[in-house]
Amino acid sequence: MDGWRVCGAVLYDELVEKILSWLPVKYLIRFKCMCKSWNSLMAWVTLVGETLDNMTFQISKDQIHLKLYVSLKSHNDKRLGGPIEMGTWMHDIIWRETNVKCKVWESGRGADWFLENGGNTVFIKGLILAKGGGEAICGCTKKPDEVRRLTLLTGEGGPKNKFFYHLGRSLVAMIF
Amino acid sequence: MAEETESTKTEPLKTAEEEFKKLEITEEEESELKLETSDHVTFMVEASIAMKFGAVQQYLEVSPAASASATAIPLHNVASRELILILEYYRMHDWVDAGERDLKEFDERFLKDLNYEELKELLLAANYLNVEKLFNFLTKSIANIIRNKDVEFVRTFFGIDNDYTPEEEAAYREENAWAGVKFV
Repeated sequence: MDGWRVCGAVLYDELVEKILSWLPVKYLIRFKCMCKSWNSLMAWVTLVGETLDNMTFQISKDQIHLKLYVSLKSHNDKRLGGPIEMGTWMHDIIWRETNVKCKVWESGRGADWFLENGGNTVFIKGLILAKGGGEAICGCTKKPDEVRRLTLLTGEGGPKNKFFYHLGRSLVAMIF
Repeated sequence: MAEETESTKTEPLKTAEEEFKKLEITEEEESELKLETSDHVTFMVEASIAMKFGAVQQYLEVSPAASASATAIPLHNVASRELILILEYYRMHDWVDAGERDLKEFDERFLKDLNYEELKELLLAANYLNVEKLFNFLTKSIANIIRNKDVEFVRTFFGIDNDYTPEEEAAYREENAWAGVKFV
């Protein structure tokens, strides 16, 4: 099926993706049960909890642009480019500094990641960001029986690692 | 609105004097492009606005002669009704004096005047014309509409058939219930 028929007007997959890309993740989870093609469209949205209210994604066929909302303590860190106003999109900062684009890895490819911060563990599942050969993370879960050992892949130095740091930090800040 | 007068085809001029006057005016005004919609209505559109349309740009790249000549640029997937709305939107957003508040009010009113069906058709037209600003505005607006709606509403909105069996759907909801997701 190429698209969804709307009384003569067809909204293509592409357009539906664009519309959905404005919505926070929790809405996407709800809409996954719309029909099977929506489910596969959003296959990458795996397990996310309420903590991810402040994350949105820009979806396209092989890329996801991640936006993180800085809602907690991390808003006054020089390493994030100086004081950041409450409510600044992490997205802007990350992108300004490193211009990282995210890549979707298909589920079932062993793409589960974690991040440790002083004994706290953030569980990350399903999605991997990539720039060159490097990988990072997005998406996470607090569900206890979904716990996996964490692994964070870092590539060969450069802005990429800085990006990991920022991303990891803000995830931790959001959850703990 | 001005669009309607422009949408009518060029009227035959009555006198040479009138023609002369018209020439004078067009010389002072900025150049215009002729656009033809799928229902064969011709629009004269300011080049500054028409050039914002990706489809027009693309057409002119392929046949540059069309910008100077009287040839109309065909817009196969856009009906006159949609083009009028698109032009209205772009003229407002192009207007130098329009403040942020004016634009916000305009956007709200613009959206209010559209029913869901028109909204979808406009989105398709905007997608075909490749007009980024309006496209983003529309997708965002639709996202806002469906945001707090239940699954059934969104199914109807997009005309989606539910291809899950009731058991599958129930199982899916169960599976994701822990995440605090309300399916309504």
